Amino acid sequence: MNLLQAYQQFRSNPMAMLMQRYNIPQGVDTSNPNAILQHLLNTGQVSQQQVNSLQGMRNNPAIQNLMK
Amino acid sequence: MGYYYPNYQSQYSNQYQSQFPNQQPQMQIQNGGFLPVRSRQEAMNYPVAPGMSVTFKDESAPYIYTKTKGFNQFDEPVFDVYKLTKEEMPSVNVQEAHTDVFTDKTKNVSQYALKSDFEALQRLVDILQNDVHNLKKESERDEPITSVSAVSE
Repeated sequence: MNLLQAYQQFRSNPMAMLMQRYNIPQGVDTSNPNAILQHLLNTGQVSQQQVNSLQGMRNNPAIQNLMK
Repeated sequence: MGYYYPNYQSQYSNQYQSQFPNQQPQMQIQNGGFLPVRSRQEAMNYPVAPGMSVTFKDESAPYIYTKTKGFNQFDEPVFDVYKLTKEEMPSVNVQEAHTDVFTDKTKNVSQYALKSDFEALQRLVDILQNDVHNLKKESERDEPITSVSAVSE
């Protein structure tokens, strides 16, 4: 799978990709990205620094254009 | 297959206990970063890991926010708001401070002489030097008389 295919798969079904890598139980509100991140932080699956860098990417105009 | 080193473990634990007899491992809230946000709501909704405190700088208003989460993941996070206020610095005229030494109340100026005082003293010394020089010359001219008087004694 090249990068473009991975991106297209993520766009079509982001939760499927997340579930492959992370343990996200049914009780988590999957429509709220912050709720997913909070669960991943609470369970130690990701670090605060990773979440901060993700937030930086989210605020990056270049990446915002890419996600349109 | 597991490995077990009983001697090493017991030695280490004894050493640790002797160095820190009553000290227990203390958990401290760690700094989780400093992040720019666009609104207070964004800061309030930001996910924070247990045992972390994240500081936010509001880009649209002069506010700083901190969101701190306790070590238990079920604890409610603590959200604090700080307003930034500009501190006015007192203006100091540096040139005046350097030149106006004699008006400075903190210094004892009675120990210092003015330049005019020094020049007056210099003139006085010159006059005295001239007088001494003239007296020497006069004494050299009067020397035969003094020698006569010395003889008369």
